[in-house]
Amino acid sequence: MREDTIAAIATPPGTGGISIVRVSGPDAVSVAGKAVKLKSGAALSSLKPWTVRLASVADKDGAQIDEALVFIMKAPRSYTGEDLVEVQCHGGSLVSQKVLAALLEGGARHAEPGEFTRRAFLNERITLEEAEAVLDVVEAPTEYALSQAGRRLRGELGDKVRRWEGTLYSALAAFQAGIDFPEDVDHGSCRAIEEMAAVHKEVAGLLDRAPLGLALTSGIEVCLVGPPNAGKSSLFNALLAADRAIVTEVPGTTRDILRERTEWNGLPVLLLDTAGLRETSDIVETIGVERAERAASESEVIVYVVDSTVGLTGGDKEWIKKWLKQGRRVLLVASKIDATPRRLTEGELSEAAGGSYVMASAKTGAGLEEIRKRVTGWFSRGGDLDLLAPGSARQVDCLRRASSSLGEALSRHAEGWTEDVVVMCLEEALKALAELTGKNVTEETLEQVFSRFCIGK
Amino acid sequence: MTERAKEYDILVVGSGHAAVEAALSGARLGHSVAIVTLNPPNIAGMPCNPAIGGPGKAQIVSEIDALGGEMALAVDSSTIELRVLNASKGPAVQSLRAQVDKKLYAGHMRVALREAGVTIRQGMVTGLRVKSGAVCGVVLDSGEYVGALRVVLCPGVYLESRIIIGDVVRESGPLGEPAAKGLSESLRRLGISMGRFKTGTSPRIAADSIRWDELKRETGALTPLAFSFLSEPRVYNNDVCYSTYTNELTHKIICDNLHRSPLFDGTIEGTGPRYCPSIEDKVYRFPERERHQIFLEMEAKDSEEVYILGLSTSLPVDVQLEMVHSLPGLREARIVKPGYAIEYDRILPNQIKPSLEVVGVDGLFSAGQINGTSGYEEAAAQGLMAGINAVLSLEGRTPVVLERSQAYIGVLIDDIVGNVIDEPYRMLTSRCEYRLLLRQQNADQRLTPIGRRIGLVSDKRWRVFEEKKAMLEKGRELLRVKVGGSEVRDRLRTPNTSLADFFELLPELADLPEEVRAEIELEAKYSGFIERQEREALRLRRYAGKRIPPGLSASQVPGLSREARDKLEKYAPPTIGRALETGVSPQDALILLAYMKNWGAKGGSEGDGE
Repeated sequence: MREDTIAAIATPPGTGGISIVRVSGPDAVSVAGKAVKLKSGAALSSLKPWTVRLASVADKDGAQIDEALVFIMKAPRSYTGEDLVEVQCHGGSLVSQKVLAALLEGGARHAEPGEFTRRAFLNERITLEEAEAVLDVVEAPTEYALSQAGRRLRGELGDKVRRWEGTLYSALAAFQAGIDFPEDVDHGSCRAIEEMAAVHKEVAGLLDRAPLGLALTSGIEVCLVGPPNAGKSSLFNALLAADRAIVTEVPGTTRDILRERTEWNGLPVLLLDTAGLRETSDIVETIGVERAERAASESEVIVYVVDSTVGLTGGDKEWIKKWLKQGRRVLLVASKIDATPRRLTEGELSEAAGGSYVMASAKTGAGLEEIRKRVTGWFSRGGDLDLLAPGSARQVDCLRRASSSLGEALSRHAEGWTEDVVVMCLEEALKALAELTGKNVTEETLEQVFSRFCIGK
Repeated sequence: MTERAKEYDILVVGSGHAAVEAALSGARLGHSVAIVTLNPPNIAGMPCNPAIGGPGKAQIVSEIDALGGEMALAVDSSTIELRVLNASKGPAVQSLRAQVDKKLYAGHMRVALREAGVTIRQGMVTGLRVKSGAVCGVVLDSGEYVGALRVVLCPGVYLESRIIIGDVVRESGPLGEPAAKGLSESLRRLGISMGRFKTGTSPRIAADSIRWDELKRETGALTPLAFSFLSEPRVYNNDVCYSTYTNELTHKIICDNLHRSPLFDGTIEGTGPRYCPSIEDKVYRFPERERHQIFLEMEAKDSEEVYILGLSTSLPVDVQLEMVHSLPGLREARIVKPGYAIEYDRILPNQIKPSLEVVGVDGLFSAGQINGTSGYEEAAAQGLMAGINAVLSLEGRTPVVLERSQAYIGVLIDDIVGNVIDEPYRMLTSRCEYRLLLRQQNADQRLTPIGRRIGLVSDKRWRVFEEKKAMLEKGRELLRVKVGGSEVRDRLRTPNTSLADFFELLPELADLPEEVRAEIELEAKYSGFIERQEREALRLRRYAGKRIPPGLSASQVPGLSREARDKLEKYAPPTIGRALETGVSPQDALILLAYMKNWGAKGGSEGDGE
């Protein structure tokens, strides 16, 4: 009896130092291995069980999400009694949700509430008393809370999902009425197929916007980096419209990272100010620089600030090139454009940042709105913030499964498979949506069959 | 009245399709069995249309056959026309439907009962006798007491039944028999809650009053087919089924008389089935439909009565006649028996165990419409399982409970014992999650070994099964031969290759029997989908299918939340899966699982069936 492989965030939601994302099941290592590579470049499967290594977690396009500690426990000597991979990534719900999303993308199913403990108990790894204790203390505020949060469909998304669901049920009912009452109902499946294709397109479109959903839930991390004294802290204050950072003429004033929450164009933003990137002999500042680099590599958007009276250096171009190569969103900002002389051209900026640059001044406020618009634009695909997006990794997982089953139903139909197979795929899509809406697929279908088709002897 | 010791091991109340299968399985498994019926000539009668099978139902008939029941054999010996429904929609939903000669069908069953040694007694059971929580016999309307170790209730729609035609309401059963009085009350006194359902049927027309040339003839399949794995496939295509449509006039007559319908004036209180609406209901609910199809089915090859499929009604007789006369070919038709609605008592759900034993009364089993179902096939399946489990409990053996992924019968019983059924339950393919696994054609491969273990599968059936199995294995082996670099079975995994494409290369394939070829072809073709359903079934079975023993009381489980305790007591879910559906939290389900595990170890459990 092979179980499938499940994954979930095992630590409480919210901002903590680290988050633990757990994968359990017979394929835990191969599933996790798709997203997790050891820092040495070796595959996860080469990691000796019960040893801890630094690893890098990437999404399916290879863009790095986080660096994490990882270890493998082999069945039956693990918490669940199955093969188990634990990924300890950075805290903060966005990072851990993204790590989880990558693991689900790799083929894991989102764990049901209490499922790890249930498996542990059924595999006789823990006693009932232990299981109860674990469930009380750990499961209730975490996995359960997470799934409950996942169930709480935000209004508009909920409406949308329910509308799709309605269309798909009517398509399923059209097939099913013909199958169960072949003598009464002579249905044409053409319309059902057209409707399914339209829904499929919309679901796929929504999934495209999944980054926005995650951003809406957790906030976009925007990190200001750049050489010392480039005007990052002034920009930080200006963008927040508050005197939060201490601004001086002395390069290297900002040593630790400052974080402030704000809202741009309706999106929650976590803005980070960092130490200037430079070689220095000051130990404290060196640590600050390391932290800045790290913060930049973990953030959603890197805003690279240069002083327009200084110009772009070779070092600046190196940094920007490195991050762009990693597939990161980089916005190049030339600051202090109110001052003279100007030692850079728009052509240079454009070339260095692949067209993504803004000329700004913290003093006059020029370009600030453009910065906000550019940053949020990445998440709303053209700035239309009315677009909806799924909010949690769990919702993304359900929608992804619904979309892929629906896609399969359509392709099986096109290939000429019989209706029973098309209906099976369609039912799988509806079951995935039902995890969001809590419907009973059989009852819903029958209700539709009986109310829409005139059947019976 | 003196109460003697037991006269029979098993006493079956009723003589319909559930009763017949229950009695036959009890007797064939070596026990003394009696049937008590209101009217012995009506054994295995068909008060609704003379047809068996159709989507979902045909699968049940084949499963009954595979387990060693009688229904499929009776169908094959009395079929007058046979069709394949959903032929083009795929193996999962393809189903046979037979129109049968109802006299021949009943005759077949009477012979089977006699050969099995079942005693048939005439009488009305008016009460149950229970001693220290266990049934010990029944009381008849004559005052007679009949002792029995196990009682199987199959009273059909007769419990406190009322027949309604227009404004005429009579206390009566179908087929001109009286309603069964007293038994319902006796069940209530035992603490069982009863509910009320409604169903109905169409008028019967005199065959010689129909102008057949104005109707369209429906033809049967022209390839040889059979329901039973033991029968020789044959072509059944007689002149027995015709079709036509209702028209504007029919609809006007109905609309003008809706106020006289007991459905609309509140006379009928029972809940009727959505899938079997009366014609007045159809016209009322679908006013945009200009016509509804009507089938005229002969009730026997030389029948004097014709059943009108699609014209179920409880309108007054004069309206029925006007309605019938508005149809093509029926302008001068005579109604032999008017259509009617019937209301009857049934046991409310959650009072029946998956073994079909009634909760709270040891040794009492129930099957068929009393459990809230509708249909001959659904009744027969329950009768078979109730009969089997009555025997197993007599012999101190574990009851057989089929899984949802094992048989349509498993789906049926799981649904009726655990679900809130608010209308008569009919099997539909949509109710079954694992349609690709539960094909009509592989019922024998799924269930005959279980029937053999129970003891109902005869040596002959076992031999036929083993021969087919060997042939299937040979066929599967042949499909592993490589042709052009890949195995034949892999090349079949597209919708546009067929087994016949490989006959030239592998002539041995062509030599296999047709049913074996069809089976291995679709096994290969649909293997990807079949495996997917198998995986899903395994996943669910592991936890969700886990049965909660009926004797387990939630209050004795330490650590359960109050909410879970209330839900478990209120709904008595038969499985962990159902418990989760009623809103019991996973944490509580876990505690329950743990308790069940220890409970099982102490020997209190019923086990998981197979």
